[in-house]
Amino acid sequence: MSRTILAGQWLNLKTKFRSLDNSLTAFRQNHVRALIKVASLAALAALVPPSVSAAPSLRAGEFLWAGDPEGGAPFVEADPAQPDRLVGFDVEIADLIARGLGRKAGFINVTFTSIDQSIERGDAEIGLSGIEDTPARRDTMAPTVPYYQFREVLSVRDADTSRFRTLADLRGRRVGTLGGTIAYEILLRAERDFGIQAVSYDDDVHPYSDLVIGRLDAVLLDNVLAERRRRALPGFTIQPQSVAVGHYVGVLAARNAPLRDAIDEILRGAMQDGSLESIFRKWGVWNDDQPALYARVLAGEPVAPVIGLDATAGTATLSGWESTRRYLPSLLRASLITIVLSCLSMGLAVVLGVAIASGRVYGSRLTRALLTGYVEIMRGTPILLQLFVLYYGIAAAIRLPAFAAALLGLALNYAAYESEIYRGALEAVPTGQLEAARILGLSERQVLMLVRGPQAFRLALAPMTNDFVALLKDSSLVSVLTVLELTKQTQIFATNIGSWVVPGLLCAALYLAMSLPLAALARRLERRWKRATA
Amino acid sequence: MSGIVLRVQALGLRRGMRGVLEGVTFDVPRGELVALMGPSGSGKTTILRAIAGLEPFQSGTVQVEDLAIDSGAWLTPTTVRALRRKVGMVFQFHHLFEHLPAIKNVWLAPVHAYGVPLREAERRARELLAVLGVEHRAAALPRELSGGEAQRVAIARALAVDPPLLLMDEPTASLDQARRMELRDLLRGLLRDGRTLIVATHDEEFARGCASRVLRVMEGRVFEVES
Repeated sequence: MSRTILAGQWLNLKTKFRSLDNSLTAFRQNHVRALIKVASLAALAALVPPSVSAAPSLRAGEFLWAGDPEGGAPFVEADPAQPDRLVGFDVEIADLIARGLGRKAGFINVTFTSIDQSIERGDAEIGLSGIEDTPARRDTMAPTVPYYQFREVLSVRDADTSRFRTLADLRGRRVGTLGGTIAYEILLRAERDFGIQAVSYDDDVHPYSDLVIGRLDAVLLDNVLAERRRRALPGFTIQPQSVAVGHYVGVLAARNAPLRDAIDEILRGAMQDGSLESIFRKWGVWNDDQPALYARVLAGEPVAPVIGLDATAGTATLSGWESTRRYLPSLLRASLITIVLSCLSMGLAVVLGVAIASGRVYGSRLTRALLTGYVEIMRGTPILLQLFVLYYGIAAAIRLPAFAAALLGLALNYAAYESEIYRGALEAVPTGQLEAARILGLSERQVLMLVRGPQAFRLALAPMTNDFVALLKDSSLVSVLTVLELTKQTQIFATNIGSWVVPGLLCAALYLAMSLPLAALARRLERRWKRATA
Repeated sequence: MSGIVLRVQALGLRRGMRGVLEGVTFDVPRGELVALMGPSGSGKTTILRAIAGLEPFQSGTVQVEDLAIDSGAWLTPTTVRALRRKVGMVFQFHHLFEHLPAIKNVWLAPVHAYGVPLREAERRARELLAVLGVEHRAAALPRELSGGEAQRVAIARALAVDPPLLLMDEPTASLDQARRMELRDLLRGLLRDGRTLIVATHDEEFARGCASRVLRVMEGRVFEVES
């Protein structure tokens, strides 16, 4: 199936599912993409000769641009009045560029954190979605001239306005932002410098809602995003002092430098003739910073990607080996979170699964009906949705910490699958043996503990192991609850160095290092029990 | 009822709309071996299962020693416990616990259901296996046993809880001629020990060789054949 989605089709779908948390789609895409990349891209990179580059799958005559409508206004969003239409300043800039090139703009939807990789693959010619100018992008991609200057600003709850003015005031506090952004890089530095706790999100909506309900103490994001959220969500204040200054750019693949140069000329023309100004004014984000930026761009003066963040300390400027060495400890830490979370979740899932299976085999009609309902609901709805409901959906009533919500979410979901395995295994023990045990005077509990359970456990062991390995990988989904596990850490690593090859290989190696011993242990247990009963 | 171990009166059992047993009536005195004979599907096994409390019946009474079970109300846990102490059963397909070695199959119930100390239960289990000639297979798992060995282990398992009444379903089904003779001698030994046995079989020769009384089962009814 082509990855290219017509804007109209996408927006129709989006409208239909608008009642669901609108973050869900992007998260799912994000993780499916991340997992597929981890599993296959790294392997493909080793197999495909370097001279064979991904051929752009572009439609003739169309200027394809990639963006993420998830972020919404004022960047890219479905027009509330006409949901099959995209609106936003990036949409208008894409049209402006397309017109300048004598072509017609066509849109493809790509998750924000994957736009660079998608452009590099050749899915579209340019990425436009409030994309930041960073040293990494300058090293690995062909970014356009900056077309908008923003400020990284700190948002705090209204009550904390005088208490938390800067990052230095937030020692020991949780500060959230969008992963893979300059703001996240700033927070990682602040972890070392000021002892804050950086929390990475996959979107720019939930950091603010978590701030208001108290899961976070501050949010660091650019002023455009912060002001947009403040209009929709009361309860927080944007501090006036800027933490850093950055710029939005369009991003093209390095091999498309000639096209980038042509686009730069179009953007410069739009800066001169006021087209860009009128677009930004229309969207209410024009300010005094922009004329100064345009003057420097038009004068050909160099514009630093970020002001207020020491670029030389970033991973983008480091060699692949050095950045790997620098990221390895955080990948190992994330692996530890993955394995601890998986083990605890599986332990709880097994206990719950046994209880559910016993209830379904031995319980009353009502118990059986209730438990069957539970199993069908948990198996029939996406685990991502369940995680969202646990963490965000019920936050007004029960505010679970992220790790606890992740553990519980995985355990409750897997318990449904485990219970089916145990139920099947319990029912596979021949009735004759159960009757023989009853005739001998064993109580029902003793029949279960001494005759039925032990035999069922042996039958269930192989599928249980299989599920544990699956859970190990599904644990990557909990990054939507801000738990920084292995896949999420890999994604951050990949975004920051602008390549998936080394992070993907490392991530795959770490997952295998966790799952292979597990599989070997399970095989050993199976052999031991088989020998015992052979 | 002093000399009668089992009294079955007007036993009627239906499965859905189908009548399986109808008006089954017979007594079994202590120390007797009664053979239930009849073709497959005639209701022999169902009679044994009803006596053992494995299958509810709709009419009549089953009385084992002083314990009477009436039709209608299903067994309470207390009645079931009392019945289990009076009736043992050896199934046609043995139904040994597949995950346990032969000896543990034998001592499992005495230890866990009757609270016999493990050492004592294990000694008794070994004795029973020796009496039945399968002591050398004590450590074997059921799947490693021949049909005859499995049946002897199943008999030892049933005897380990010492029931006054032992029910056996098609005990000769998996045995050759020589083993049948051995089984016949074994059952005679059990009778000498004062046990009461009911054996469902369609092995005419075996029944005549060891039963003190033969009851013919035909289409869910029981007919006295001979003493």
